Amino acid sequence: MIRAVEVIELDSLWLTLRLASLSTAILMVLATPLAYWLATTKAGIKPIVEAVTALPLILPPTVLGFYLLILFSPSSAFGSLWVQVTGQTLSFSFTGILLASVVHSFPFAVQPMQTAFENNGRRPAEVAQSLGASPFDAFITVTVPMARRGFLTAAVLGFAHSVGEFGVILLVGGNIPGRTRVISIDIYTHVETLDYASAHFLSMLTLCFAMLVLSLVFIVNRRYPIRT
Amino acid sequence: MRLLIEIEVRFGEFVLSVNESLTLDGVTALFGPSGSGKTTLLRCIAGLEPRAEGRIEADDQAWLDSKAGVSLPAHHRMAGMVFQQALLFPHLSVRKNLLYGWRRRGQRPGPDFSEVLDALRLAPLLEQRENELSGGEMQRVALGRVLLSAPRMLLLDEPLAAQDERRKAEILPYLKRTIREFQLPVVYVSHAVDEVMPMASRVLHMDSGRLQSSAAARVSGGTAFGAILLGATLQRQLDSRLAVFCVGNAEVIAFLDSDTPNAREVLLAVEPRDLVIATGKTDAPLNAGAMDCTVRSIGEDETSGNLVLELAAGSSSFRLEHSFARHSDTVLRVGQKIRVLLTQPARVASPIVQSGTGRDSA
Repeated sequence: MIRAVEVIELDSLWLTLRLASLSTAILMVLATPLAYWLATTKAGIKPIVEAVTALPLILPPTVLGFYLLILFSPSSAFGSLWVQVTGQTLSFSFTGILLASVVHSFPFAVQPMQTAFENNGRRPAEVAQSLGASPFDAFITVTVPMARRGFLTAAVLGFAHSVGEFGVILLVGGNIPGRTRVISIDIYTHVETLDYASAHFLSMLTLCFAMLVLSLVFIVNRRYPIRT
Repeated sequence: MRLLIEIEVRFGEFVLSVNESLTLDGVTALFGPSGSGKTTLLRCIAGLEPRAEGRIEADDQAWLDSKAGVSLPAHHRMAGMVFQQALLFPHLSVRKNLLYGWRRRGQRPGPDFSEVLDALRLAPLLEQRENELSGGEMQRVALGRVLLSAPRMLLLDEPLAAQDERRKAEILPYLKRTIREFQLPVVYVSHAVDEVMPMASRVLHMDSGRLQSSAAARVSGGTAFGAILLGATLQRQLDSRLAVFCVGNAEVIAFLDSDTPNAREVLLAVEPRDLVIATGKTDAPLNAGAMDCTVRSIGEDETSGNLVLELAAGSSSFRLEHSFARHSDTVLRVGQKIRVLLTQPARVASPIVQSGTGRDSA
């Protein structure tokens, strides 16, 4: 009995870490160009794009989860296309909650990066280009390193937000052990079944993990102080 | 180096429109009031202004040709730009800042690392970071960094404007040395006549987005902080050092430089502290000149609140920023004649250069 509980617990922990790491990686890849575009563009459409990007911040997770559930269902155009291409359904799958998590955490990654790029200004990249660096070279060797605090914040917030994800995942992924039952849903299930011991254990684990990650971030940040 | 600029840049109400063929050798001083488009012009040349339309050619290489869809990116133009702020890369040490352009210059010949290190005395700073440097040191590193990228020219955009007087005095010798030793064509934007004029071999004046070459325009380049009087002709020599020049119908006393040419026309530089508006009936002090000017327009500088007078003396016109005028009882009006005193003799700054032909042989 005890061994069985342990297996499930580790399962949900492992699943959560996998989900958070993967969605953080995807977030960084997707959010960087958008954040850079938002920080540098003068296009009139910018406020609209910013609003859409920020939507997951204020929408109740259930609303977002509901729409994603509709979108992911095999009867929708997107959902059926996904089934045709990959042979798997998005709803109630790991890929589904990964996509949902990316969407829901998107503003947490975009906004710190956008702020960091805006603080850089366009001048450093221009200096790099006038010194012989191509625009991409300048971006990689000057713009990104100068915005590294923004990147770190984006990664940590994106990761933490994915770890804490509950409502959207419950709607999109359900509560399938080993597939979509992440740690927050696992805790919820334990509380529902009055298994407070397991809930305590997992909650404390999550708390310690959060504390560890944040401490690491602040230690790293102290080594790279903000310019004065 | 020959530079052909036929461009137009619009943003909002402002239009920069330049049509000029320049021969850049030595230092070309670019004056003009704030917001006249000097920085925008440099950015267009450097390839940092995507809104530029028209044509830019450097020694027959097309840098910009909007009609043909050509726009050479900044990293292929290599018009080394130095900004008002040093803009060192804060995540890199001084050494890595210096090597940034050097590593990317490929086969292009240019100054050696050690050569630049010596000229700007950068060796003691190599392992430091931006936040450990003084303002003057930062600007020296910025200068060294751009030199090591082996640029084809230097575009200096008010490189000393952000520094206080003490720092200016500290950097200026390095700047002069750089310009002398590395033999690059320089376009030097500045507000300060006294800073640039000793180095300049030609003067351009920019106003409201238009460029006026010294000789072609026949209008003086006035800045808010001093005046450049164009078309001054030698009238009579007073002694070995001083001579009287004629500017319009005014007589101005100026120091004669040992290498003042026997040019028909010269350019006189008057430093800001040497200009005084005379109120009431005043005779010029013995060792000074006086010019009768007509007030063309009266404006106000938004930041300082001082009056900015546009004055005409003969065919020259210049601007004068004056706090005194604001506080005096004298009410100035457009069209009024006023007397401007030069409390010190002016300096002969350079012979007038024909547009597009380089330095006069005189």
